[in-house]
Amino acid sequence: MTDVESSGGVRAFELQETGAHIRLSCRHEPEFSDVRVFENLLARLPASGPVEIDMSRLDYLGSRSLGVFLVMLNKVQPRERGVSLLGCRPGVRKIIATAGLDRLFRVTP
Amino acid sequence: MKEAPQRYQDLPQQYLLNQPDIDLQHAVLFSLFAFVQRQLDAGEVDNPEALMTTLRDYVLFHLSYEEERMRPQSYPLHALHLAAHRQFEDRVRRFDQQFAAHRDDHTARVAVLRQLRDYLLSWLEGHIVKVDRALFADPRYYHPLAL
Repeated sequence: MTDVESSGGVRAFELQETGAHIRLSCRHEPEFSDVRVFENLLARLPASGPVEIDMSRLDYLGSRSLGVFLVMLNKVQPRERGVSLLGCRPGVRKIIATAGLDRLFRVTP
Repeated sequence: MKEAPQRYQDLPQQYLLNQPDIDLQHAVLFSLFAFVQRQLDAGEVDNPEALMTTLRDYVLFHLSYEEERMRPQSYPLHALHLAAHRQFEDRVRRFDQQFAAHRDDHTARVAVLRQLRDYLLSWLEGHIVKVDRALFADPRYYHPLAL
């Protein structure tokens, strides 16, 4: 298990497993300062293969985080991976649906 | 568990239209504008591809979503509103092309990013305050939000 620290010292993403499915755990609402950290993490991942992002630790996503998160997800997408968000709590799932992210990315229970 | 009230960060209060879905999507667009500003502030303009993909996809999604909520038969400004949306989409596509044309020119990319920031702010402010507010001012003009 690998932890990655954002510039603020808060651990933002955690690489849970590699192999057929790469799973990242999102540990707090993404912030602008997490983007570079996220890029560094992506650079260490295998170049292909679907990526799952475990959202189960989040209980809220503000609109600012949604914008940052969208950009992060698109940093994964150009590698022609499938990106899916899983384990969203009901409140987060509702925010994701209202903002329309479920029309742009796969959201699974 | 009580649901947390939605926070519309980056969306100035005067742009709220009392439509939870539209307000949140507008707030996301404003947050992408803020993202552009922070990239400029941080001098991080070398890899705008993901930002442009996000902006293009989200703009297309949001405008299409908003159009689904319009009632074309009763909304008198329907055609004008759609024309404004197409103009915005075209301009975002052209920004995309401008970035691609200056792939190896840092100074030019900074200039394009500044233009993008200014265009986004002026379009979002003008469009939401005038055009979108007129649409959502009269329930005859739009379909209610299906929650």
